[in-house]
Amino acid sequence: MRAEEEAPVRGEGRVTLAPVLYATLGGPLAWSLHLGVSYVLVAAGCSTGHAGAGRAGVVAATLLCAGAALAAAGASRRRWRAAAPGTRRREAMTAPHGHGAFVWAAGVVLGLVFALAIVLGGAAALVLPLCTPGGSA
Amino acid sequence: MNRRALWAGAAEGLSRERREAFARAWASPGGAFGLVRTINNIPIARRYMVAGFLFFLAGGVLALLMRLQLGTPENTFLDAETYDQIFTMHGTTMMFLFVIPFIEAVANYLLPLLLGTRDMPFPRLTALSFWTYVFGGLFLYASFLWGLAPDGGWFSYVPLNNRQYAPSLNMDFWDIGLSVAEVAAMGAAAELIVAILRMRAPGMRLDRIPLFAWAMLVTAVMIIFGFTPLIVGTAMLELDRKGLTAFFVPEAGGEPLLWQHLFWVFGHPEVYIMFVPAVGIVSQVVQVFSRRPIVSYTLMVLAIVATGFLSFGLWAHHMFTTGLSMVAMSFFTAASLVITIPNGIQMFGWIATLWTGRPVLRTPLLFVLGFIVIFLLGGVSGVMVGAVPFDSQAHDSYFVVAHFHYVLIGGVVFPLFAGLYYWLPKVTGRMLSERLGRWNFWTMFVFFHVAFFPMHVTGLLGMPRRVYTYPAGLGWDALNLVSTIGAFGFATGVALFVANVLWSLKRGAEAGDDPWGGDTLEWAETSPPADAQFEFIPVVRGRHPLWEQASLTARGSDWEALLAPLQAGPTTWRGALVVDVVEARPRAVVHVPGPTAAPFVMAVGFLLVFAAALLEHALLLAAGAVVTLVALGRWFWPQPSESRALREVEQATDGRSLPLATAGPMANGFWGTVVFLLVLTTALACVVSSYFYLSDGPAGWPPPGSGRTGVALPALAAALLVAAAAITWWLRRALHRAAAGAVRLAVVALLAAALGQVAVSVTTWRRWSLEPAHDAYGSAVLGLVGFQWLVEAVLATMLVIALLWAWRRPRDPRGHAVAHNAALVSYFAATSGLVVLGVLHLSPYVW
Repeated sequence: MRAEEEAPVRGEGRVTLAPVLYATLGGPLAWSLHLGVSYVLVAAGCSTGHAGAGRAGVVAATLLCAGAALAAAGASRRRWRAAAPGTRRREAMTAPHGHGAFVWAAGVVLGLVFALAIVLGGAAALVLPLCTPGGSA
Repeated sequence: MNRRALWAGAAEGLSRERREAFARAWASPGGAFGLVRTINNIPIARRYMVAGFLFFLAGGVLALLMRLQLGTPENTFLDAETYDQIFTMHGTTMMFLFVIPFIEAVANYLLPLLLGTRDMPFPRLTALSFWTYVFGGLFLYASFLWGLAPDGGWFSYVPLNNRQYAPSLNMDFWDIGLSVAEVAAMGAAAELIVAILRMRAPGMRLDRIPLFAWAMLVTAVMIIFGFTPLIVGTAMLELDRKGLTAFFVPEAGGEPLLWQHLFWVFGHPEVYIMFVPAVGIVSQVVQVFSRRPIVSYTLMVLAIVATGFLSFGLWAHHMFTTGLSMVAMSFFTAASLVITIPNGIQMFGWIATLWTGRPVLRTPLLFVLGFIVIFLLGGVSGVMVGAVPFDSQAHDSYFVVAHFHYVLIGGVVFPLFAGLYYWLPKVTGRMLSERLGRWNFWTMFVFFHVAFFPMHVTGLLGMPRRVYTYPAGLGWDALNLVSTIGAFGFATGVALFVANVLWSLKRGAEAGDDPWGGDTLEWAETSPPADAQFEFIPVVRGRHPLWEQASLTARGSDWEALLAPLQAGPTTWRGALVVDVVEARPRAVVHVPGPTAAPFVMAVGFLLVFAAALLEHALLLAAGAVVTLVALGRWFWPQPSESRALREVEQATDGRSLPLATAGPMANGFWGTVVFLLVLTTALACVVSSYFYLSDGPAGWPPPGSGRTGVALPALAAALLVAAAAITWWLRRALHRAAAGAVRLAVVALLAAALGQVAVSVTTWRRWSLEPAHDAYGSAVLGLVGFQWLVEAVLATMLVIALLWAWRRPRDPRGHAVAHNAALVSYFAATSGLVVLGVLHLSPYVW
């Protein structure tokens, strides 16, 4: 048997794995990174006596990671509009629809939800004392 | 939809002989020896489910013993020591021996049917997981025979469970028995990931995958990332308990909180590892019994994916009272609150589906409704304990016991029972009694609340958890008695289920292929399904193929010609289709291994090794290693059917057929290796994080007098690692060019580099003169270099196998597959080696 490289599907283009991974995992991975980095920054800032630097680091990490999650959402949105022109947002969430649009719609929502999670987590560094143990406040 | 209509015309042009030969190719072996040689997913998963349910009953009996003890104050039914053993084994059984294995068993059974494929991608791994799990479970329960059952809690907190305070073998049984079960769970998870991504029916695009399959995909990924920290943690704990290291020994600079981090990085996602499959089951049941598609499939999928991720950001909410900083805790509080968004979406999705559908109130749906009520209550108390101020008050009280039983029994057991009532007719071919089912549901539902609701109150009244008795007159007496009555009532409900199953097996009505009017592909197969599933490859054209399609055959599809050889074929070997991940277009055929006793023998080898570790018995260890190696050799020995598959490939030259995937990204083995690398990456992250976590101790890092290694040896190790990466690049090039001589040379060179790297690392370690048994720094260093030795050992084993292939059959693609996969591991080994060197020799200058 010989390989037939591409089995054609009438009327449909091709969606490759890499952009799908970026769209769907960009937001969640940015959030995971933010959680890990922020935790380390707080620990390092408090153990070395540089709480201010730790706080600034958390804020910077929050901005960068939230930006990355939003970028994934934005990229997904562009691809979604291209994949399903004329599809309204509400339809994308509810109706079975064409090729690829599902993953791009997923990317938009995941990017936004995880950007929110990043901001909620990072906001704590602005309003709470960085190095006070939980039980002693 | 009538099964005959769905497959109408599929057999046209196929001879009876061909169809019989196809069935023979997939038949499980018979006889007593066949029992250990069977690897087909259906019989293995059936045994897996039965074993899991038996462990559920055992864990339930332990719970009843606990409730008998707590039914009255100052009771002497159990002494403190026995109670500790029973509560530890109850938690351990339910978490590790029932829920996860049972869910994986259900998935192993159902996924090939739901996805429209013929088996799991690595059936030998399925069998290995099953045998390993059974042996691990029996190993744990055997501890009762010697009065040495684990007694330090299912969470095994240190320093309580350090060698100094728990010197007997009880917690060694826990540590080692658990490791066996963990290996089984990881193996099954790897299998599920590859199956769902690669082995679907043509046309089953990502947006058409059944929600149960989506849920299992996310669950399997969570198991890979969640169980690895537990494996690393239990390995560290066992090394500590053997007196070889001091990771968690405060007197030696170790850190008990490190254990809590490693444990809860597993432990909290574990809750969702159990819950997410339940989401899948509930979604399947709700849409079938509401007679309409689930409301907002896309959002449901997103909620499952988001839950999977967010569950890894909650672990420290189990540690709110350990003195973490407020800001650090707030990160976890934020995640604890954000996760209610996807959970809320799921809840509203199910309610909206029921609301807008035409619900048929049969037993599976009753259990789903029970789940919604109970889980909602558990979710609300979850939000309460997710908030730091409330958690500080309720921590370690019976309120928490009430909360997690509402979540776990409501969120997992009720959906599992819904799934059992829904799918058992497919498994056994017979219907369960509806009347007994309703009695079963109402008994469990009512007595669940009787048992667990009062615990909220006893907790708020101050009753601590994990106590074996309590004094009278504190206001807890009556509530505890009610809980005990409820527990026995709940057990009666479970007994009704067992009675129902036994009744159904003898007298149940014939189920037929599709008793519920289901929408997914499993209902297009016979009940019970044959060993040879999907004789004809189904083509999926929508999310609900049995509701939307008049025919499942490939006729008229773009792939009709391409799939023709796979209709009731191949007939002399087991062949299955692989598709591309996103669009599910047919891409290749894979050879699925046939019956073999290798997995059983390997599981015996594992058991011997773990028993040797428990007893510190060198001869037993040697015997276990030999048995494991023999099984490994048999595993990789070419099966005659593989050669038949290759010959058939060579004969077909029409240029329009699917290739046989043997190596590279098209082969399942490649994807299995990728999953394995994810496990290794997570393990590396754990040992590196542990190193830095321990470095925060008061003694300085490295502690004074730890010695230095000089520059020469680490530099030589780094050079060898870079050389290994370069050789790997060369090996891959040689593989692409199919240059047999170059492949052979590259494999030999790579093996030499790996062994050289280990030799340098061992020499460095010896010169360093660290004392890991008495010093956390030495332990942390040993953790890092030990990890690297392990990786190099795995790589060397793969390279030896690749070398044997390259020597005996230099052009055989099966040998190339091993070399391809070894190349991936080699890249990882070089990277992890450099990371380890950097952490050990550079970080002290920058941290």
